[in-house]
Amino acid sequence: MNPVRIGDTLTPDLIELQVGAEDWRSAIRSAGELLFRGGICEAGYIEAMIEAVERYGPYMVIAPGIALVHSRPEDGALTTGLSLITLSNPVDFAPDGTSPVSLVIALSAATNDWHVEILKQLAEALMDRENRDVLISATSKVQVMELFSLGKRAGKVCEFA
Amino acid sequence: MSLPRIMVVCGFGLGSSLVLKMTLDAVLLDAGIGAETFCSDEASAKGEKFDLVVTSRQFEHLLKDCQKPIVLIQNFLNKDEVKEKCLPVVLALIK
Repeated sequence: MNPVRIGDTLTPDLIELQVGAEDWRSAIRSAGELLFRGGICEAGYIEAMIEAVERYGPYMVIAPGIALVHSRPEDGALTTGLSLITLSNPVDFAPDGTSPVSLVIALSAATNDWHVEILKQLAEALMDRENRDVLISATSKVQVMELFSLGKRAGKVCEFA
Repeated sequence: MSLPRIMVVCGFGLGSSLVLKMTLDAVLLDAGIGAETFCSDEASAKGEKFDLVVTSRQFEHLLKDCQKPIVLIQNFLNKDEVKEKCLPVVLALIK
């Protein structure tokens, strides 16, 4: 059965904290590498995510400080999942310096539909400023996993039927 | 009248636009407004039927000839921004 909660799928090997990335490309590579090592995407998917930002610009910076990077399922998404990294120093996704990012979430969406469910939970969690602050300044992976796991902060991470 | 069709556009129609659609759906629900919201990607957006487009400024140029209102959002997770920018346009559509 597919997991339907972020807490079930975002395992410690898919989280890396306070990564030192020199630019947005290396930040995407770090997050993508976790997906690849986890068997969630093919190696080519990492470059496809970078090309997407090159092509469309920094729109994947969905909120101040937060980038949700991904590519198409057919670019090498093997299964659906996500990885999360925080950066020790923000990197800018826009050439004009308007999109500094400290939290990069890489998404691999295979052709099934449960990435919708995962994004719902992600959006709901990230809409809360306190949650965003906890994630960006997290010093242990447990803090990140607790934030997304049911029960610990269930009032914050909204439940969907 | 039928429900207004609101198209949310991003590069691939499955990540950012989905997040923005969720924020928009929440705003519409809070306001008690019925609307049909859906995601589209930059390649197929032009071929869709819609009454209003919600997207980020990177995709505005794709739809500049669509002759429908275009609302540009910066922070896809900010209900206040989505509410302030979208609600007046949606209300004008259903008036």
